[in-house]
Amino acid sequence: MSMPLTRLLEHVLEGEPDLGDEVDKVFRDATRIRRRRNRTLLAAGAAAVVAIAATGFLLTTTLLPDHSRPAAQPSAAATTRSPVPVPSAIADPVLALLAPVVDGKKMHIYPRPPERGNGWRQYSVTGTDGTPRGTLELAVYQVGKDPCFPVLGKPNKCARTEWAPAGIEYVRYDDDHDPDWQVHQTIARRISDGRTLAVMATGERGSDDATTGKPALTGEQIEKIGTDERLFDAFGADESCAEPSSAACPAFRLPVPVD
Amino acid sequence: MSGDDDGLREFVTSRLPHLRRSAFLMCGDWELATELTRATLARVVADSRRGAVADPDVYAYSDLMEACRRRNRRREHVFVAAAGAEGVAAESILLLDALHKLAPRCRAVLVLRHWDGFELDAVGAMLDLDDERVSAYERAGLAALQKLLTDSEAALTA
Repeated sequence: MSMPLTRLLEHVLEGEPDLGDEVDKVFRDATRIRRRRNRTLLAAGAAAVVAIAATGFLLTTTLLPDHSRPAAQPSAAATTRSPVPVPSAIADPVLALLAPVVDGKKMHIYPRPPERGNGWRQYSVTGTDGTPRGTLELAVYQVGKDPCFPVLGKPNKCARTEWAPAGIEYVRYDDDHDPDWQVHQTIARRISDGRTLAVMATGERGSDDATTGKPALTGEQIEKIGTDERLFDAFGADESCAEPSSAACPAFRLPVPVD
Repeated sequence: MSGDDDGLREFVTSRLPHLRRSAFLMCGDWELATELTRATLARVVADSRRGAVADPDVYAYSDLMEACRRRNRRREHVFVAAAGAEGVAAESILLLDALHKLAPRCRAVLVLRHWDGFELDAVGAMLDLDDERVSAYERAGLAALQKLLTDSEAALTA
């Protein structure tokens, strides 16, 4: 792209067809829009009158709710597991990016069943002596519009994002309030295509011990992993945790703001 | 301009060609670009007649970019030439293809900034973004475009 983009775009527009009578068509369409709006307005008014009459009728005839029907039985939720085969560590590009960081801390990482599905992976981390050191959970989503990144403890607020190289915006969350569920999480979005990653490290849960409950990786390490551009491409191009086949998608401490 | 049909006609006549080119850069199809531009300008005219348009340029570009974004979700082709048009240079198709690999909002920022020549704040108003985000989209878009074009050229010469 040695030429300025403006000059390059000029060439693209060569072969532009004639405008013809487009201006007249615009005005004809505008008149059609006005007529359609008038009709919609009239229809809405008529519908409102009918709705008010129907509500009045229902209120006067149905004063008590009908208890004769049996309560609907809750249907068993079908939890579908992804049929994606278990890969070896070498065949898993996500693991290939995580392993050096975990190995550098003299720990081991391996897939944790159910280890993967459409758009997500989960791994266990252990110390050299086999002591459990918690889990690493990752998921990828497609987030089109500018999302409202959540704020820890403030459900209706949007977090201010930080910027990493290659046009990646992200928010990092560290929560060690609950010794039994300490979390380091990063949500990062590549703005050029909307691909969004969530990476979460948690300590071993259920131990009721602040030390054992400490995540294997620090918040800084999770931030570095989550904003690494290679991780965005380590998942398959069509993978997304928002698809119906991603039933076992991990539950993140801070949910990803999917469209 | 509100309600004044001569003023509206002048506005439509002057903006239609440029809006249609911007739409083409967004969707890669002259026929679709013409259709979307006509629909956008018809809305501008209809809403201006009832005095509901503060800034027709911001309204028009904002509406057009949103229309292109919605129509572009299921893109099945890169480029559709106009009927009867002569061949298009391979470089142009590569550029359109690269442009269309970007997220719609990223592409919209590049088109509005580099083709239409709008300032950051105007683009922000059109796409409902603050200046910082417009700059970030522009930087990321240019870098991604550069990389895509380099990769395409390398593939062509290999």
